[in-house]
Amino acid sequence: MMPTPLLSIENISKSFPGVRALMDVSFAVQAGEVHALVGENGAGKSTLMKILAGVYQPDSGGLHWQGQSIQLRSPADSQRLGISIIYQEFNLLPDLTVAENVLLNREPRTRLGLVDWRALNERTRQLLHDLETDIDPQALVQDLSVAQQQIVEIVKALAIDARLLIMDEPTAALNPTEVGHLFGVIERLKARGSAVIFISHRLDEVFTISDTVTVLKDGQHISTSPAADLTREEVVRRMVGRQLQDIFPPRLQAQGGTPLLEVHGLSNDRLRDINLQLQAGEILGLAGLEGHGQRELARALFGIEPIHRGTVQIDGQRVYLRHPEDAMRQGVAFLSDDRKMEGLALTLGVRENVALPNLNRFSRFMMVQHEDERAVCGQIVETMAVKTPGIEQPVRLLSGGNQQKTVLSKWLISQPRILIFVEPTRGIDVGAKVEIYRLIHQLAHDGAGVLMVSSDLLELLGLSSRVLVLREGAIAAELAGAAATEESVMLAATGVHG
Amino acid sequence: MTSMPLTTPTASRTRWLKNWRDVLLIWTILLVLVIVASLASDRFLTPFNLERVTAQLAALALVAIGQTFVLLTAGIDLSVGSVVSLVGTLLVGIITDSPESWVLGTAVAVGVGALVGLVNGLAVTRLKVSPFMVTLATLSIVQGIALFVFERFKDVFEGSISRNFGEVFTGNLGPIPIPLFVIIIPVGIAALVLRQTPFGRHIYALGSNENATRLSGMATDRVKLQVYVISGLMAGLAGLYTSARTLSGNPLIGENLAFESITAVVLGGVSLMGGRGSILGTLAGVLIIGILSNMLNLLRVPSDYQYVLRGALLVLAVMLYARRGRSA
Repeated sequence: MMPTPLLSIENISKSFPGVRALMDVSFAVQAGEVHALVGENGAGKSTLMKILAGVYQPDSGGLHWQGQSIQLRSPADSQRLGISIIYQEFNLLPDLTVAENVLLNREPRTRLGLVDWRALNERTRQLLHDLETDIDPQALVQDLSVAQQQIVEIVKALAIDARLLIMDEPTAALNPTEVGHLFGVIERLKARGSAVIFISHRLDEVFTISDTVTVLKDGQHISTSPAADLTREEVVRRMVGRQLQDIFPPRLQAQGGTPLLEVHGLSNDRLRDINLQLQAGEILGLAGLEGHGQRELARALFGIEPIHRGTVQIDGQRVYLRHPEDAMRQGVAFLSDDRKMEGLALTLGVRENVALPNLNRFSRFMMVQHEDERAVCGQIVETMAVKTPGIEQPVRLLSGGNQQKTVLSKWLISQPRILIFVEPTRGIDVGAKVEIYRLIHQLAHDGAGVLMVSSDLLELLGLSSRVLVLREGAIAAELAGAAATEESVMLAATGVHG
Repeated sequence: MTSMPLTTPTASRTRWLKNWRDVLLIWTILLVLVIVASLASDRFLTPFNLERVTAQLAALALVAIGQTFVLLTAGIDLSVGSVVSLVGTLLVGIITDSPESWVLGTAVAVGVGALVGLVNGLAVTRLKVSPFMVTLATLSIVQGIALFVFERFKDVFEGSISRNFGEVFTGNLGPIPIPLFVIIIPVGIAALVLRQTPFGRHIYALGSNENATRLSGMATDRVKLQVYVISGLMAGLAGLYTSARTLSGNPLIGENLAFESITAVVLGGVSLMGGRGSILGTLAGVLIIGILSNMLNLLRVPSDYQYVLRGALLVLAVMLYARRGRSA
């Protein structure tokens, strides 16, 4: 017989205007287990998580905590029970130090009731040490990388001795070493009797760390089974409801002719003497460990980061990229890795976001022609299969994958010839990923040049015609065809010679 | 993957309602206020009183339109009041009975306003100083210039403005008082610009997410510069109108206009965080302020109470909008 579960979710339903987010979902989480929650975008994972966080109240159904019926009316209720949640969007205060963030509202006091700074920093250092990271407790959060901020979030949850830790895509921004550290910590939490709900799109990781896997699809509970009884293929089949034969389309070769994009000796604060060529019809991958300049190179080529030295040619013509507007005029489009900060105006609707870089196209006599605008936006949104109740829907209410498709839509209207993708599938589920892969492939096939930065090596190798590996801001290797393997990329990225 | 139907008629109708919920709310409040005012005083709904309210409100309306543009980008313009004061002070020395001087005066009003706006915009975009600090500084500097001009050149800038010039802005066009046009025409143009032009869309996008807008290829700094110039320009026009109405130059006449205009715009549903709000909302905000103080004056409520009431109303409106923001 099973012991009383730590948490059981019973017949939970939740609707929002126009969307039934959860329908009669039930499953149980045992103490001491890592419970993976997987599903496509819009499957209901985020809604379920927010119910457990006390942010949303279910329309019907209930929760039991160690056999007792509970109601979570606010995040404070949830925290009191020992439920701690690490959101994909961090809840950190950028102007405070790591230690101040970690022990926010729980600052150790001296006998006089003042903040005991030494204890504060020391306790944080200890918690960070448990994670085997070398982040300085006194560093300001705004100076940390995304990966380091992720670790601070985790440490913050650990600081309150969570009984149930819910992690939403915790590894999205981590490199393999950091993922290893994280999994070490999860194992330790498990040994202590805590439970972890692990939400991830990376099925390899799901199988590495989880004991139990629950699959949600379209707001419904599909299955909860021991990870040992499942295969990767079976999980994918349950998630998308269909067989997923080949994730990556066939590899493309450059179409020849004048290179679309040619870079000579490009340097700035983060980049050293970059030379590259991008041909029509090819997908050029930029690989490397996080923070080695791939992102900066992509941004420099869209006029976001300055170029101090070197030249950029598009179609054989020298161009100056001082502002995104300059790059756009040359037919360059850019998809940022930070959808919410840089990709979308979240309070505006799908139509307004899609129209934004294209307003001149819809305008006559200096007036936006709403009919044209609605027609073109509606058309592209349909072509891209953006799941939305309508083109007026505020984009903040869309799931991650659909937000990404919205960003892509807004660029594709102007038919750009050079597309720069930074982490195009971050935080996106398997089904949507495959769709994005097909789109990127199609764009290159139709004669565009694609430059792609991704920390997901499988994806980078699966799509790219060629891979450039960056190390410390310089190109360390160019790999193509059979020479481009996970191993060869990692060797070049770390500078270790095998 | 199956995509849901794109836009059903019901979906677009609810969207339309959602878009206008804030505007409907504030116009409902305005309507209630008008009813209360006409019940409270039988002098309220008289042509004479309504004309007076309109004439008093026109300057605030002009300034509030400019302020709306700035607030929509998540900026703020505190300098508008001192621009009105400076323009008024200068015009006393310029405007005579000759129509040439009227043209010159108008040019000076528009030029001074646009120049102050340009300085604000350049400081915000080039020096990257926060709009609050920039316009706080120009508020003080322009106010200083107005007082300087008034004190040092008393012989030139004293006396009163040509009554004929005043008639242009305060008279009637047929049965309709001109101040009504002074409000309606700019409101119409501003609404058109904000709703129908790419520039208007850039303003909302910029206020909603500056980074995303910049990375969509918009020259965000240019848009910011433009909204400050528009705000300055509208303040200049408000100065011109005020001179025509009062027929004098008072270097402190605009003192309260910055805060009154911000109050009106926020009452009208524009978010201080930018990206949300409309000109129709602003118009309602302006009318509420004007009608409230008119009603209280008719009831002989002392002005100290009026300030408190206006503040309470502002808090109430902001609370209502905040709730709406959460529920949306």
